[in-house]
Amino acid sequence: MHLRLDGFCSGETFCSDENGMTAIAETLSKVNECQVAALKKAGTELDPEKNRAEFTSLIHNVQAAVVHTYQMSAFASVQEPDPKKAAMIWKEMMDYCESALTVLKDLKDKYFCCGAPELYDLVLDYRGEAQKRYYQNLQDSECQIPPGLFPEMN
Amino acid sequence: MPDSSGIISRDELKQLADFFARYDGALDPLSADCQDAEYQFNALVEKLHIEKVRPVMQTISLSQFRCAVRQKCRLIVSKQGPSYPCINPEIALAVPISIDPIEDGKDP
Repeated sequence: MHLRLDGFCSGETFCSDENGMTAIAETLSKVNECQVAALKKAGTELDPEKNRAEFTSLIHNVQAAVVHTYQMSAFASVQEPDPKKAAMIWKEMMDYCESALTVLKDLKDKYFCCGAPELYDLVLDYRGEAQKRYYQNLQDSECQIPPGLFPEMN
Repeated sequence: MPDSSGIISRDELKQLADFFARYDGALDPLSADCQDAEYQFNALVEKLHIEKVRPVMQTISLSQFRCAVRQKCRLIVSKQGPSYPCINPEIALAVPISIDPIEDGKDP
């Protein structure tokens, strides 16, 4: 995910340049992918009864990743003046939700006691919100502002 | 024909930008505040379209007007910088949305 993260850490030394911010965004994206991959792997290896705590912990990790990625997307998108670029930010969020849903769809019945169905519903909601923002921004990007509609800005 | 100040007033635009920032940039899209702000944004857009836009610009549909408003709000909000820097939420909340950064003594 290539988000514009300058609002997160302006003035901080650890990410004061564009390359540093891109590196952080890429690292976060990899961590997110790892959380989903770990859940998928656990779904083939862990027993819902014997490994309940372990699986619940993985569910919490994916939930945290989805919620945090949404927050990053919202933060970056609202600071982006170009609606087309904002749409692309939401597209990446949609894709991440989709990857989580693909895994959760197979696991939510088997691991119903570990929070999987609840996470599935939450990710569905988040995907819906990201999708709505993606299409709205895409539509906005194709629209011309008619002259005389808004007051002149200095 | 609209005058140079625009059909939509600065106060209305400021209000729209505030609603836009609250719903489009909401950290929790399922929160009551986010959903309320989206509802109020759409209601105000519809009201302005009926009362102010349609009488003078008949060719602009509600959908086109909403897109134009969202675009304008995006430009305004993006110039404000982060509204919730997380480091000190009290300071962030104290900074109101402005549609004219120069008036506030900031660089455009």
